[in-house]
Amino acid sequence: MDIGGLIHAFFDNAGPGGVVVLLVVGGACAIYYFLTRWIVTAGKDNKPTPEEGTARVDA
Amino acid sequence: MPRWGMVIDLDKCFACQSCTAACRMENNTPPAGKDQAGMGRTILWNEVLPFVEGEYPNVKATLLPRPCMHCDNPACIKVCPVQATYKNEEGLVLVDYNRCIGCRMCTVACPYAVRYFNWYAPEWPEDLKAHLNPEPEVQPRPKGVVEKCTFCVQRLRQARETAEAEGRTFQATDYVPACVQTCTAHARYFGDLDDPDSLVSKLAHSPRAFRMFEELGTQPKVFYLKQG
Amino acid sequence: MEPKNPFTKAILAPVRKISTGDTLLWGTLLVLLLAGGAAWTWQYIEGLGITGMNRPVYWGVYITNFVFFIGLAHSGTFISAILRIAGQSWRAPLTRAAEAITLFSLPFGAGSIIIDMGHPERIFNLLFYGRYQSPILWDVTAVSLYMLSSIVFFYLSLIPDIALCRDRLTGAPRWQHRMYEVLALGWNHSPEQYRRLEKALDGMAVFMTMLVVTVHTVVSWLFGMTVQPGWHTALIGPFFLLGAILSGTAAVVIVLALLRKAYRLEKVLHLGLFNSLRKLLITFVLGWLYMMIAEHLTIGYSSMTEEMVVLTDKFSGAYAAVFWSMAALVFGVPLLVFLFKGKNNIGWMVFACVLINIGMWMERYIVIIPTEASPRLLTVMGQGSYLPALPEILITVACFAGMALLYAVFTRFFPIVPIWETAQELPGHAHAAETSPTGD
Repeated sequence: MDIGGLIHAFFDNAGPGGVVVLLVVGGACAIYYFLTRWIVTAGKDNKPTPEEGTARVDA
Repeated sequence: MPRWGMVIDLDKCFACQSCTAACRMENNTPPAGKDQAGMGRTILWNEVLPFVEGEYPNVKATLLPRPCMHCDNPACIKVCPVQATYKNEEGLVLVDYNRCIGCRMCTVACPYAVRYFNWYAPEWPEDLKAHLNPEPEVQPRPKGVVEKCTFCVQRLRQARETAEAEGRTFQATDYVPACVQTCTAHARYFGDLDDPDSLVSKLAHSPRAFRMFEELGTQPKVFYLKQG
Repeated sequence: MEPKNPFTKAILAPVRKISTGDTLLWGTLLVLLLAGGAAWTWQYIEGLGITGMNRPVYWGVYITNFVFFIGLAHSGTFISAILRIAGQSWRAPLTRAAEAITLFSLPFGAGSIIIDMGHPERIFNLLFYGRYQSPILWDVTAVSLYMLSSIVFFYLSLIPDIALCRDRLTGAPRWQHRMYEVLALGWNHSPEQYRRLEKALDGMAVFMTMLVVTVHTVVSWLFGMTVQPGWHTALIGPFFLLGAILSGTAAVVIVLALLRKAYRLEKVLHLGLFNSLRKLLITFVLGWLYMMIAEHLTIGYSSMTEEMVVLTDKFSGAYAAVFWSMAALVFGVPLLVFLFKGKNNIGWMVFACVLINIGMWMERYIVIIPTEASPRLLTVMGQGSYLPALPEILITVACFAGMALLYAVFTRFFPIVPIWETAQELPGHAHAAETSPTGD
């Protein structure tokens, strides 16, 4: 596989940049959603918190 | 695929500006008007620039016609966020007016200042309007986009179509931009730089040949032949 | 079981008390904002021709505003993220006030880029045809992620206080109370919630610090990646970053002083905070001087032709007046004030910080314009010139007014000092008592 060619194609074509922006922002939205849920649900004593394992605190 | 390039002999050029005028008519660049011209907003795809070196009485002035350099490694293309400006397979640097977002990063990045922005929607006096070039490639550009010299890309298409209609293969010599065709002093040469036998390719290798701001690594395809 | 904070009453006092003064202020700011909106509409219809921009000065005050507002935004992240990591607990009372600057200046920073576009309606081309080699795409990624993260960082630390509003401000109008209910996400001050919140904020602080460095470096690369004289330097990233932190921190001082006066928060936003910020500001002003010397000495010493044209323009040419008054405003006067007058004196501190921010705006201007006005083809094209036109001035004023408006409205609906972070005791664990405000 031509790694150099791939990198070149990524930077030099219309499209991939928009995908990166969407992935970064969309991914952050998802992570922040689960992070917020993880924090808030700690108050509901009767409910176990299955999200704890998946939520990342550093991103 | 040809790699189109231009050679301008500064010994022959006497700055008559016919290239500028021909370009204007061929490519439908709007007249700016006095006020706008005063603000430096004239759109001239081809300009004849005076390079003045030294101070009086030891002055040396060089007149330098400047189309787009159609760089092999263009600074403008790198910075365009939407690939509205691109280099086609024949090495021509073109602009997609329907995609350009008008951020003007290319105009800021180009060291040759060949890129122009449409500050307003273009307008022509009635008399001139009747004489606009009808080719689709040079239809008046909307306000808010960047435009520049294309080496008269519409003429390239026309030349190909003519060759096909006449049933012969297209030759590099079939196609010249308007500025080259009109040059009073025959100071401009145009052709395929990849063809070692072409006139431009030979002239580009002449010891008199130089390119503008060669140190920037943009690799322009417009060569100048030194004066004197 | 709420956090125990003796100042809860004082902090909640300004909330929902909309006075005649407020209405007047909001009205004025709204008019200014609308005037800017009208100017933008005018510009959208006519084209960018109605601005003062031209060839070769293709970028003017809109881009200056972009850099300035993104810089101003660094205040909040610096105070609450970087100082959080460094364990500087004195910062607690001012975190929210600082973060609010971030939150409300970012939209105007990002918006300035859109205002500057010839075809703002084609903004989504950036997503459809985004090309990652362009620094503009780097900006879009970094700034949008920064904006999103700031909102989350701000909101997370606001939740416990919204819950307090929900429980205490029962007399508020129905819609407002409903807003608190929804935004509090059912927060019930359980110890585990606080433990997780602290953990999340600590983690996010590291990420935010990284973002803050990235964002302003990438903003500077809009210029640094071109080959233009005066811009094409590796130092431009750190230089922009330091300037951003300087103007941001100075903005915090101004905002704190205003809040303290307007909302009678003297006890909470105590003098000690100003003295701590003073020390930080002295460091940043000196750091700025260091960058300034490093940058200009390197260029001046080597005396490369094109670079020297821009440098002479700034030092003794067309931009000398702006350049030297900028140096006096950012560095000279403020440093003297901080050293000799600023201690225990809020008036002088605010004076110096206003100067710094005016100066920093001028600094952004002086980085951007002279390089464009002296292109490589200078000998040919002649010196370019640029003066902002009416629409540009209106829109710039509107950006500042809009930011102030958002800030003023926010402080009437939410507590601007974090009650839980300054509490002496939090449910479940002995929260750092040393963060509680004292009279000093």
